[in-house]
Amino acid sequence: MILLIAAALLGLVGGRVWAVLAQRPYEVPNLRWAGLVGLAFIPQFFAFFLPATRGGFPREWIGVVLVSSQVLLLLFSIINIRRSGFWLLGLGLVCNLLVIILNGGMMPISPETLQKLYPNASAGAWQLGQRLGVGKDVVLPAAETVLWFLSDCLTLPNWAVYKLAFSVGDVLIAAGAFWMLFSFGGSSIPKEMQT
Amino acid sequence: MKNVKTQLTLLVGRRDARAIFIFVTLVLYIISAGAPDASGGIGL
Repeated sequence: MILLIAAALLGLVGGRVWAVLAQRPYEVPNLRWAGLVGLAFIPQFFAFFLPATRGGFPREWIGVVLVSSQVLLLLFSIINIRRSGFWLLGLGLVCNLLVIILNGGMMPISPETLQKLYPNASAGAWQLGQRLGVGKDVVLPAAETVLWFLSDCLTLPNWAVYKLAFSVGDVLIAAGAFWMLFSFGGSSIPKEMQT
Repeated sequence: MKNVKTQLTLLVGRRDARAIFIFVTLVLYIISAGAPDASGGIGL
C-alpha cells in the first residue's frame, strides 16, 4: 500500500514539475461520481483498518465487503474510463477482483511467499485457508490457487528494506495512479523543450 | 461531498482544491483496490 501511495505522490510531484518546466498549468479535470470511492472505502475501513473492529469482523463477511467494495470501484473506473490512467487503474482492479472472486473472496498469498518475506516467523504465524492477520489476504498454496499469477505472489528484491508482497493488479494500479496524476501536467513535450 | 469541496476551494483556491480532492480520492481508491501490506497486521 505504501508503494502504491508513493507512486501516486511521485505522479503528483512529477506532473507538477513537468507543468512548471513546460510553463503550463497543472490541469486537474473533474472526476465523475467520486463519491463511489468513499462509499467503497467505508466498509473496508471497518473490516481492515479500524483496530477496534477489524479483529472481530466476521470471516464470512470479509469476502462480501471486499468484492462489493471493489465492484463499486470498478463502476467508478468505468464511468471515468476516458480520463488518462483510468484504463490502467481499472485493469489492475479487474485483475485483483478476478483472483479474489475465484478464490473465495480474499486475495490469496502462498506460504512460500510468506516464508520468503518472513523467514524467521514462528510456525503458527499463519494457517492454510485462514485469513492472514486482519488483512485482505488468505493463505493458500499456489497449487490450489486459481490464477495464482494474479495473487500476491510478487515480492521486492532481498536487498529492499521494506518487505511486502503484491500482485500484478497492484502494479497496474500504481502505474495508473502515477500516469493519471503525471498527465495533468500536460501530455505533450512543449516546442521550446524539443531539440 | 460537495460541502467538503466547497470548503477546500475557499481555503486553497479552486485549482489546488481540485488537485487535493482528486489525490485524496485516488489514495482511497488505491487503499481499497490494492492489498494492504502482506503482514496483514499479524505483527511479523
